[in-house]
Amino acid sequence: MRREHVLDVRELEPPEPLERVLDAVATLQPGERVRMIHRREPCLLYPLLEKRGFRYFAEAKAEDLHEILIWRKGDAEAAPPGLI
Amino acid sequence: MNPQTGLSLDQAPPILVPFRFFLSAPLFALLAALLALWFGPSLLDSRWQPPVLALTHLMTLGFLGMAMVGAMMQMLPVLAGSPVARPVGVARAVHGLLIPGVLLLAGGFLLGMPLPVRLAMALLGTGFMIFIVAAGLSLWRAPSGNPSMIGMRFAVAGLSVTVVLGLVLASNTGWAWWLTRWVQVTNLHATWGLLGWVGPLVIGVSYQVVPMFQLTPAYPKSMTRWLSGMLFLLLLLVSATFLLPEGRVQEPATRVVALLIVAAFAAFALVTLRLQLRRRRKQSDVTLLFWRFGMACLLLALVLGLAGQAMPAWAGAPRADFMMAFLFIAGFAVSVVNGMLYKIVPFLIWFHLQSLLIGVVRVPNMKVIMPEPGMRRQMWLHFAAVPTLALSALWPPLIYPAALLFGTSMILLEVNLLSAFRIYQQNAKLATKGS
Repeated sequence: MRREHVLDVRELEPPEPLERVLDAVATLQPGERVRMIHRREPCLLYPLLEKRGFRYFAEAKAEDLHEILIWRKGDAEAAPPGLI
Repeated sequence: MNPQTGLSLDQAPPILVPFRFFLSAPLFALLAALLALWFGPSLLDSRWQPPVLALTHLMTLGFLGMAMVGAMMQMLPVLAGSPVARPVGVARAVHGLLIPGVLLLAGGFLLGMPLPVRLAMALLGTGFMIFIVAAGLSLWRAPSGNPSMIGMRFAVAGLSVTVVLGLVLASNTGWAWWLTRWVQVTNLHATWGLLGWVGPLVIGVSYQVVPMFQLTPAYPKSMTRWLSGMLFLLLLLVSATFLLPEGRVQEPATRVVALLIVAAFAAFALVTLRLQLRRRRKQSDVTLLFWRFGMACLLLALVLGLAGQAMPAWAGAPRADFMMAFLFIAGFAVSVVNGMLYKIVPFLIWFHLQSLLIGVVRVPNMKVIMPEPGMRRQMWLHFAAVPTLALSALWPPLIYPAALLFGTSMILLEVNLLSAFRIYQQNAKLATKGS
């Protein structure tokens, strides 16, 4: 069953949001993903995720509200529909 | 949003691209402090003396120029998503040309020799041209909606005007031809450099860096949309007033435009201070204090500028210019750059180590990379140096303690930056061993 860990980093100062999310994704089990809630789009996170074998989908809900879904590459259960 | 729109590691420039500039900057400020110690109170007799010109350019080109060029090379890809093409080559060339260029220019001024100034013109002209073309192309390609980008575009345009005017003035020294309006062109050059390049770049970068690192609300849209463009337009108007015949029309026209420029910068300083009061995290840190101090100095410099407009006797006082310049350059610009370096240097080290050290060792915490006590010591020295410097405009012997404080503060800044960089190098070695 798909499980989602929500990680709200809006109150944290750089690079804590990146530190927290890298720690969180490192412990992901099959079928699990992280939903990161951030005040801005974390452009610098993406290359770090790619290098570690993760995929992501970023969505701007508002100018200061961004949600980023992160899952392990190839984990079809954790990935949003259409994205693996 | 497409998952592939993020920054790739190939786009993030290698760490030495910004760091070669950051690590050089304090050394120029240290040289300026040594010059001030050497020449002493006589420096404050007139702003037109060769050592004053040398000292000013060591600060503006050497410290501010280096730090700002380095910061832009780093920020264009991160903030604009539009990296500078061939960042390593551009950084090497610009850095390699600017360093001897600044030293030769200062040396030429000091020794009163035309040849070093001519060489400096070639080096600085080429170095800045490469930077302006590279940054300009990147800004041209960047998506236009981002307010920081707008600020940076105007700043690069302001830098171009400053460089052209600087080359005209230097050619006058290098070839001893007679520039009839030397004083006016010098004032215009300084105005574009400080208010057209340094100011708008700080403003543009603040729109991103203040909310991001100091966890404040965003700057108001009305400000981010219009301020930089309005400032640029006002500077064009200032330049136009120089073309008017001196006398009845020129004086009030210049005064009105100067007042509007003062109002624009004051609005920026006040809004920044207000946003900082509304930040989410209440504990203060070194960067926040540097920025607050910088904004207070900017406001003081503006008040002095206004006093000059209202009381021509004050503007005509020989050392009024010195006090304003000390407050704007050392008090505002150096403080803001110094504070920003304390955020971006440890952040970049942390970021580059994150991509190097996967599965090797845990990346050191930001507070380990740049320890707070070292930053605080340097900050207090700087906070003591600036008022002493400003007061030396009233009582020139104070230039000695001011230069000592400022020079020591710059040595500590360099030590802090180098210690952080050493942590990067040590950990990067582990990565090569680990892989």
